[in-house]
Amino acid sequence: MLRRAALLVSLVLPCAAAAQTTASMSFSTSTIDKDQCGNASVPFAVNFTVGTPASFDFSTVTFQVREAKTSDCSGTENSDYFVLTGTPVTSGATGTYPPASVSFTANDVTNKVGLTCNETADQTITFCVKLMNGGTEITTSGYTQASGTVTVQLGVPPKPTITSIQAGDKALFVYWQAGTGGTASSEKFSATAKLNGNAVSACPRTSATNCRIDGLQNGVTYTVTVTAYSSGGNPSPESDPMSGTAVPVDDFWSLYKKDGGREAGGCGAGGAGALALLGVAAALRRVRRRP
Amino acid sequence: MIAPALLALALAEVPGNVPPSSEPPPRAGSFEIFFAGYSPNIDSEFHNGATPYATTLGTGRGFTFHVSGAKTVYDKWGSVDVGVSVGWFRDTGHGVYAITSGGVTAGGASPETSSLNVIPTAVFGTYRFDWAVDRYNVPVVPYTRLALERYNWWVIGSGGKTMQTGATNGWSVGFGLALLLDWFDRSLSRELQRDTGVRHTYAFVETVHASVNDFGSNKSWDMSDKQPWTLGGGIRFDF
Repeated sequence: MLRRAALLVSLVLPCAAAAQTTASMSFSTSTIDKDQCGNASVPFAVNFTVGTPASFDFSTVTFQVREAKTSDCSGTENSDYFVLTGTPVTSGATGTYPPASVSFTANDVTNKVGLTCNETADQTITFCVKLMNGGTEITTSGYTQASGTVTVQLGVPPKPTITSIQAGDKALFVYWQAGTGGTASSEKFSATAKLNGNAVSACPRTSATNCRIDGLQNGVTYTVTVTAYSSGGNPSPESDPMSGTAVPVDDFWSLYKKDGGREAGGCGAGGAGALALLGVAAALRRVRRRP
Repeated sequence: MIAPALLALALAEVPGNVPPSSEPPPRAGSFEIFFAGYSPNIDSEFHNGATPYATTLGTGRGFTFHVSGAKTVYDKWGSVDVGVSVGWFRDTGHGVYAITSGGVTAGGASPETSSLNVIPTAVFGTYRFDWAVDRYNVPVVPYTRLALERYNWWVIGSGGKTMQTGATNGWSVGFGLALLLDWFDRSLSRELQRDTGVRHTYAFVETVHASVNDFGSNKSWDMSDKQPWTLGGGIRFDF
């Protein structure tokens, strides 16, 4: 009877502890572009909770990225896998482990994941994190493996079309429309002004279909092209070029002064007005204080 | 149109045999939100036909709002409040090409935006004939207001660059009629007073004449409204 009870306790206790150990994996970057496919460094974190009391020796237990594959984390491990090392987890700990990156090259993608970076369709890589005791995965019932996915975007958006360019003051206003076709959608755009084939200035990437390129010289004619970008950042072919010339512009203040306006700015010629405001306020305060 | 209606309400609510209620407690002050049309009279200084404001920022009438807080300094035969107010106005348009070049014509509208931004501030005193509100439930309060104004402004030019900043001083006088909203639902009014301390809530219409040109300085532009008398309205809470 006593032996049966001891056996039952020895079976149940580890299960109860292990059931409290959970882990989830997250990436700060979930999509990488075509260029990054062969030279990527993807930050990730494993958020975990370790149960207590635990059934294993925490001095030798670590989280490791054991697999990167195109399917889920079930099934047989690849023989070639990513291994991360770090400080062993501790009993009862909760937190993030380890703040690290998964770095991989084109060869890694080929050898460890089974993909190539020359494909045109987007690919998803699933990274599988396991709790390892030395070289052995802890498979106690209730322990949750962590996994996260990174999309490798290999598609390219279509070439955009510039519809018009308007002159600005040391600037050009560029208007365009997204192209059709391509193997990825156009998520963002950037317009670049070039002089003699060299890029002079560009507007920041925008999801709008127009932008203002500043930092130009009035009276100079520039050649402008627009590039579309996929969500992963893959650039499209450049649009057909269009030229535009920056021209000086009179804003309201410039035109006011050019027309002979007398205002000079500053704190007001009638400074007495401001003093009067303060004087009235002070006088009213004194009146109020009298019994 | 509104004033006669308010007057009718007032007259209807003043029966001769209503006994005066007990003396109400002294008022602490008020808080107001005020909306009005506004278009600065900047182009008025030019006698050569130039219209820089209209050319760049347009001729449409803009919109301004103010919030103000005031302290009651007298509360017997009517009440006198003194307070401060702050507001906001912005008018946006487009610059014009300075020269003819590269396929554009001098004076033609450019895509470069330009704007005038104004934060009007004021110190004011208001007299309200609200003596009968608590005593006889008269729901209409005529009032007058005198203010010293200071319009703080800045102009934005091409590329979002600040071209000039400044402040212009002046004065204003206003006349208005306020309608006591408590009059329509007194139980709600009492609940509001119990929960928030708001004794009365008014909707009001006001006409204002402002002269904001640094008191006639020949070095200042005219930030007064184009219309000699500006009509506005808002809501006021008495505490």
